[in-house]
Amino acid sequence: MTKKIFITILCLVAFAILLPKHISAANYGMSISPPLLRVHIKPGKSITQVYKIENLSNNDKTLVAAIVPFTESDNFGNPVLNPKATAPWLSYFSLANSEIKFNKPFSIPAGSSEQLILSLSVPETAPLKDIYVTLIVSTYENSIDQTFQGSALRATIGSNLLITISSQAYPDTILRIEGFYPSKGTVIKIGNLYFADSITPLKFTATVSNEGSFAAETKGVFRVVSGKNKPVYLEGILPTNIIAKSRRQLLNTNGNNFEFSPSLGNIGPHQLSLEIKTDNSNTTSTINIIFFPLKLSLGLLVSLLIIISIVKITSKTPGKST
Amino acid sequence: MTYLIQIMKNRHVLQCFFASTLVLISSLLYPSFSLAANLTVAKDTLQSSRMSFSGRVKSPTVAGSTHVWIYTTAATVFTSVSTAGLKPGDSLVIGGTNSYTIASIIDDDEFTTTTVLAAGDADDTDVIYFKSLPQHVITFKTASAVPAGFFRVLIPADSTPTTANNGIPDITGFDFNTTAAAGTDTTGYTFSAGVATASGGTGCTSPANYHCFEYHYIGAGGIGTDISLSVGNTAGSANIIAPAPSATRVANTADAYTFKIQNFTDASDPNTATPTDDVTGKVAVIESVRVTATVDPSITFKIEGVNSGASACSLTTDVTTTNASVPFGVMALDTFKAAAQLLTVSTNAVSGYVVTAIENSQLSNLAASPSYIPDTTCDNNLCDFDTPDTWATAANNAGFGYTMAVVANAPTIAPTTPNYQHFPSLADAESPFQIMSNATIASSQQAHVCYKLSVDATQPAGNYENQITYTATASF
Repeated sequence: MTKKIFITILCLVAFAILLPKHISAANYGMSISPPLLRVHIKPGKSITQVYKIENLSNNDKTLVAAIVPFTESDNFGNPVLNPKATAPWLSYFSLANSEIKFNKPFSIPAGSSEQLILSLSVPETAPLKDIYVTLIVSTYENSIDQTFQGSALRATIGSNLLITISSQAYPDTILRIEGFYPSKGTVIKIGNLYFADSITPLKFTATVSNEGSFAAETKGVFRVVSGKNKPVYLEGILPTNIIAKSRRQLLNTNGNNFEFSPSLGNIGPHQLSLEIKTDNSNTTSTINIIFFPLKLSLGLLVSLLIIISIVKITSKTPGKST
Repeated sequence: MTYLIQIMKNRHVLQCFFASTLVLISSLLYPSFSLAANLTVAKDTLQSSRMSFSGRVKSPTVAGSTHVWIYTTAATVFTSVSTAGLKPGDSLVIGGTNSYTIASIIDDDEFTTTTVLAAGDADDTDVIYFKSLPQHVITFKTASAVPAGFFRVLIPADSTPTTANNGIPDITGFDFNTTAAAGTDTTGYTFSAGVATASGGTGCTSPANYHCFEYHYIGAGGIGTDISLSVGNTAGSANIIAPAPSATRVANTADAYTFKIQNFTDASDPNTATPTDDVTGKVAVIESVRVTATVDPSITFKIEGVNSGASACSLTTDVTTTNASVPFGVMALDTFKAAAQLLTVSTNAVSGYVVTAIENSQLSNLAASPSYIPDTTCDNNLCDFDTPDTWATAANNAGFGYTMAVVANAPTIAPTTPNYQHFPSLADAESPFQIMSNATIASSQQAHVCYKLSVDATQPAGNYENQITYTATASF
């Protein structure tokens, strides 16, 4: 009995020592809210936005806040940030906090939060265009260990601001849907017409490009309509922002490519369309697909061939025996 | 006055006066001369006062989609014209047969379901039902001691018996739901099993348009005894269906219905007999109140160190890291040293997030020559800051690089083991590289970032260091 208890304790101690574990004594954890701000503002006007920064670590953090401009984004709406980038209109931004200023360190105790009061004042003479910035809050370290060998880490959390400076509430937007085609499934393309199997799910990709000077939002639907003009499938488009002169992947509301699973009843011509509506313009892209029972027909053909072969073989066999 | 005295002196008149006075006093002292008394403190408490839903599918709802539009105008028995009475998680019958669960309420006339609508369930004017199945608990005090009798509870029903018992919400009363049952958790007297009869059924024809629930008991009964009877159960498995909005109902007001409780003597025919005691009460149903709350959007980013000896990215780590440093320490020549950190990101931003990485420069020591440990180009001299390749051999492949591995909740990561690459360098004007991302809302997505370092004999002794910046931002 004593031996069993001893072995059990020994095993527990061994597990506790040998099992790898994460260090939690000194971690980094920050939260910023809101993570995205979309602003329409007229020249000569000002707005103030409060950002809440939370220190989720179990130790006090020294941080520094800064505004970084960007002009490009990838196809998924992620800004291409260059920490060294600058722009003349950065002077529109300031922090209204009495203690906290841009590029100056400030502290947040462990488990506490701090508010950054961001002020945007657009002068009367500001050019009418979009400006894009990221408010970043980074860890700050001003001590150097001369014997340190390795990588020191700087953690940054950022909130994007998409700002439209315009005298109109809804400035003109120019969106164009591109590359709308089946990306997965049994499909044959002849000219502008697609032929697809009527029981195989199809996936579709598409991008939208914003050729205008102002950001726009991708609100809309992916619609499948039968030859009798009867809607057979409807799916929402994930609402995202496309900054000026950029391209964006269009996704469904689950963040995936659009998918249509035809049934046996979906035979014949169908029209698939992507429709985007903005506050002052619409854009649509359509493709035509003829669904037919390709796999089913092949299956029947193979079955028929097998049956014919069996019939031929069985009809020849008695002849040989005679 | 003289005339009155003369009348009072008449013996017959005096006898008549006394007799009348006795009758009056007697009637005041024994009021039970009346045929039926009122049961008191009577009420029908519903487990939920929520009404049912009876609406219709409207175009452009289509089969194969989860998006449902409803009619906002009433027609015949389809009186539910707003999603106000629905909430996510409700189970609906759409099209008459199939059940669907509400995923979200979009607005007054649109909602989504967790599964796509089947063919035949999305046609214009197809029915939509939500069945509210509250348990009824009827409580009251007895007025008389009726030995070995029974109570009968009458719940209002539609005037057409088939309509009142077809398992579909009605707009003029409670539907019997074909399998409703009188409860067994009755208290107050000693009861036998209750009997439930749909309106129009045997023994349940008078009064008309009521479902009947009988509760027979034994014993002498009592006066002022608290009685509690139930119809159905709290699980909703044998319950009557609460009414849908009445045709005359005004939005956000309750529909009230009259219920009755009767106490009969043993062996009475409740259809014809007069109850010893009875009472009439009111019960009301109204739409549920959908509670909503606003959650502020935010993004959360965490970095945690990983102990030496841990498993990460198919490696066993050699050094203990913190959230702020990866201290490789003293290096042996032509030998890998591995380290790791854990990154965690959560955001409720609909477009998701991205984490990028960039280094200020290569691992450097300005006092040495060459003054840096090179960024890795991997085994085949093919990897760079945005192109990964295998890196399994330390000898002749000195350098500093990293890879990623998913830990939890499936973020998109790059590069992935066994491929490595090096960090883009700010000193070389390279762009930050996306190491971790997600296209939609993300909850505690975790990934290991694993570092590997190898030096060869040509590397001068000294301390080398650089700074890596991880930036987490929400996508737009």
